[in-house]
Amino acid sequence: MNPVAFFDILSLLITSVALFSVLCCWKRAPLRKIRYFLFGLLFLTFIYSLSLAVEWTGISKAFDPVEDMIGDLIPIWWAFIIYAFLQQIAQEKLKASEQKFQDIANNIPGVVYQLRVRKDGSYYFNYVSPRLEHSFGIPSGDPTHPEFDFAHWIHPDDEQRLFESINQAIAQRNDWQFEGRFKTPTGEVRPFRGISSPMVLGEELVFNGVLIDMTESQAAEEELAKMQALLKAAIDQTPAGILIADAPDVSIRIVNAAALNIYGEAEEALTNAAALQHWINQQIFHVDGSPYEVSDLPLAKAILKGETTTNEEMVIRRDNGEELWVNANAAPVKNGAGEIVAGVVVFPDITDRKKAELELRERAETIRALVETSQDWIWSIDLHGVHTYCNPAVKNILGYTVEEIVGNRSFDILHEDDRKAVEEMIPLWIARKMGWRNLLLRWRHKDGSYRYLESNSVPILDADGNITGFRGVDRDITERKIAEAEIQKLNEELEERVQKRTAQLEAANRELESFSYSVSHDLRAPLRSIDGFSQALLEDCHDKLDGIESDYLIRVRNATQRMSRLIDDLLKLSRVTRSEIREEHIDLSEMADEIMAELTRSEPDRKVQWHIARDLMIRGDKHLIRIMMENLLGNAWKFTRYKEEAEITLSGETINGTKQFFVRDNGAGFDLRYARKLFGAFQRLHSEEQFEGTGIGLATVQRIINQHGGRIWAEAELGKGATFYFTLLS
Amino acid sequence: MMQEREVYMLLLGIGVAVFAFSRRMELRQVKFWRILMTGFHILLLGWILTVLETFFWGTALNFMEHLCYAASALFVTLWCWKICWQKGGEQS
Repeated sequence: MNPVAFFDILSLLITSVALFSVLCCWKRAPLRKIRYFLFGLLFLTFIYSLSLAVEWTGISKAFDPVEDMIGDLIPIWWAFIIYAFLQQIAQEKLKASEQKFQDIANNIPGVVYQLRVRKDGSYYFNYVSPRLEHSFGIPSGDPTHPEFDFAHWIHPDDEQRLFESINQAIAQRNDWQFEGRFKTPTGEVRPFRGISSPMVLGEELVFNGVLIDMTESQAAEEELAKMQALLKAAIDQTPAGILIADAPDVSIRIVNAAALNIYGEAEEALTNAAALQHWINQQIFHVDGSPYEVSDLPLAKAILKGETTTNEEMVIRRDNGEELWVNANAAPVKNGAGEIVAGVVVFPDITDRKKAELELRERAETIRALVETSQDWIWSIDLHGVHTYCNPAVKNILGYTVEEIVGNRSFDILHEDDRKAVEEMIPLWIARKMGWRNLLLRWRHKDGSYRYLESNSVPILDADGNITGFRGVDRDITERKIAEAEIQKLNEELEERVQKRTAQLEAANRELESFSYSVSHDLRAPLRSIDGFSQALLEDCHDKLDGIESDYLIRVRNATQRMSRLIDDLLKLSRVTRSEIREEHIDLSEMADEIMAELTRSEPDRKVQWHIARDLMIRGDKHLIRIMMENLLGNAWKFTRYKEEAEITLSGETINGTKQFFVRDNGAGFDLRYARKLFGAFQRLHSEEQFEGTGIGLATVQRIINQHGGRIWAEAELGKGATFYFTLLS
Repeated sequence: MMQEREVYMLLLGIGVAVFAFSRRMELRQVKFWRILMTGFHILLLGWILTVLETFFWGTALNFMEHLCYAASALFVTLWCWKICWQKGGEQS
């Protein structure tokens, strides 16, 4: 066989197999688009091979025209095949693109649409993604159908506004933005935001856009606004100052009320960059007084360097010169990518605390200075009596140094008796959590002598109230004790002397009493004889006596009677001095009434106005007070004798807690220059002819008042009356 | 003697090859495209040989020409078989 014919027959067979395969798989997907072209190619190839085989086997020449015709068709058919493949690929691309668009349209959180505007200005939806029903509950259908009533689903309040905005966007060919509400079939109102941009497609104006469901977004915005409000309220209510600044320019964004209060500035001064720079340079300082560089401020460091600042003390100087201390804590704020987006600084006002610390330090320093320079021994001990502190005064008092005392149990240098007493009492003081007061202890000086120390202490309590020791002060009273002993000795000597002197005085008094008694009795007897015989002469021999002789006898009698009264007054004065006071409550007003009645009875013709205050109560010896009042009121009665409108007043008042009484009259009065003579015995400021008297009365009054612990004084004016004031302490 | 139709066929084949080459990036997406194009290129070689046989080595080149036709048919059939029966073809 001709080898060429062999290849042609082989081609024929192979092509037959291919045709068979294509026919078997006629409906399979890979062939669906090209099966006719492929079948045609294979068929042409089959015929061509057949014609070649027939030609080369020499069977017939009948296929030669077929061979010529098909031979030219085969490359053309290959071109069809390639073209078909290209068409298939293009369709698959378009299909994939459409699918991708559908996937995007279905999966983005919004409804994608295309709105086409006709030449007459009417418009219709060319495309609306199926998400319309899912997002807004608007029933599915064909929104692109000309009968689709879009307005039906718009909230009535938004309808007019919506169409106005659409018409405006169409007229101006601008971007369209709108926020409104859909009204769903269930009655639910769903907010939405629509955006679209115009483009010209052919002769039509097309708006491609999206409708976004704002329900969750609006809720989120409301929640965000609420959180922001809460945050702002929290920041504003925080007593510490808070500043929040944006990165990277450190521009202040949030300033709370406490910060403004601390700075004493308006918010504009902090949020305005230039003002802030000036303010920082002028008013923020380190604690050592040096000004801050802007880049060194905690907030700037947090934003620019990402550094965290903890408890940095700063000084803020206000415009009025007042300085405030703050404690700054700053930190950067980073986003999810770790980038610094802001910084925050929190700075509580610690001025009061710093002042308190300063005062405390000064107070501690003062106390330390006082303790260190004190002449008293100031100490503290633990529960075992071991000294935990001791001031240097111990060196002067006991001769020991501080080092010799602290850390040691100093009870060992107490006097044996005192040490036993203290060791017995210590458990009691510990149990009662109390110290001791004015405890006299004898300490042995380093030189062996004993020193008297007066000890006072208080317990030391820990935070739980448990006693941990004692602290106190011991005062060296050795000198005082010595002085006291000397005073005691002197007192004893003085007491002995007083007793001797008292005995002497008592003896003298007894002699004086005896003398007075003798005087009163022995002088009375001759006086009574003189008076009696003179009276007898006047009565029995009055017819033998001429006028002069009778007058002499009358004068004798007057003199003897006057002397008798003088003796009586002297005895009375003597008794007053020696009387023992028996105190009782006395109604001075009532007593004055009685005396007033007696005086009125003695001279009933006189016209005297009495003004006696009521309820003048005192405590005193009733007998002596009666004598005092008789003398005072009697003097007033006597020295108003020549007044036609005489007035006598008794009253009292309380001055500085002391009752003060007075007797006032409008009588003769006296010259105050002689007032110091008033209360002396036998002292008289008026003549016997004007006003009778012995000059003993006021001396008696003063002695009675003195015996009651009071005092008496007088005010007067000659011819206008006198006032006698007196107090009675008892 | 060279036939006129053989020249036409060659020119058409070259045109198809150029067209296929120009769209090769898209055509690569066709499953087993290399096999199919190998079959086409062998066929094109056969058409070249049939023109050349007029000028020299007539018998040998004629033999080669028909060998190319058979090989081309074999590759095309192989492509048909793979596209129809193999898994890769089904996924297309």
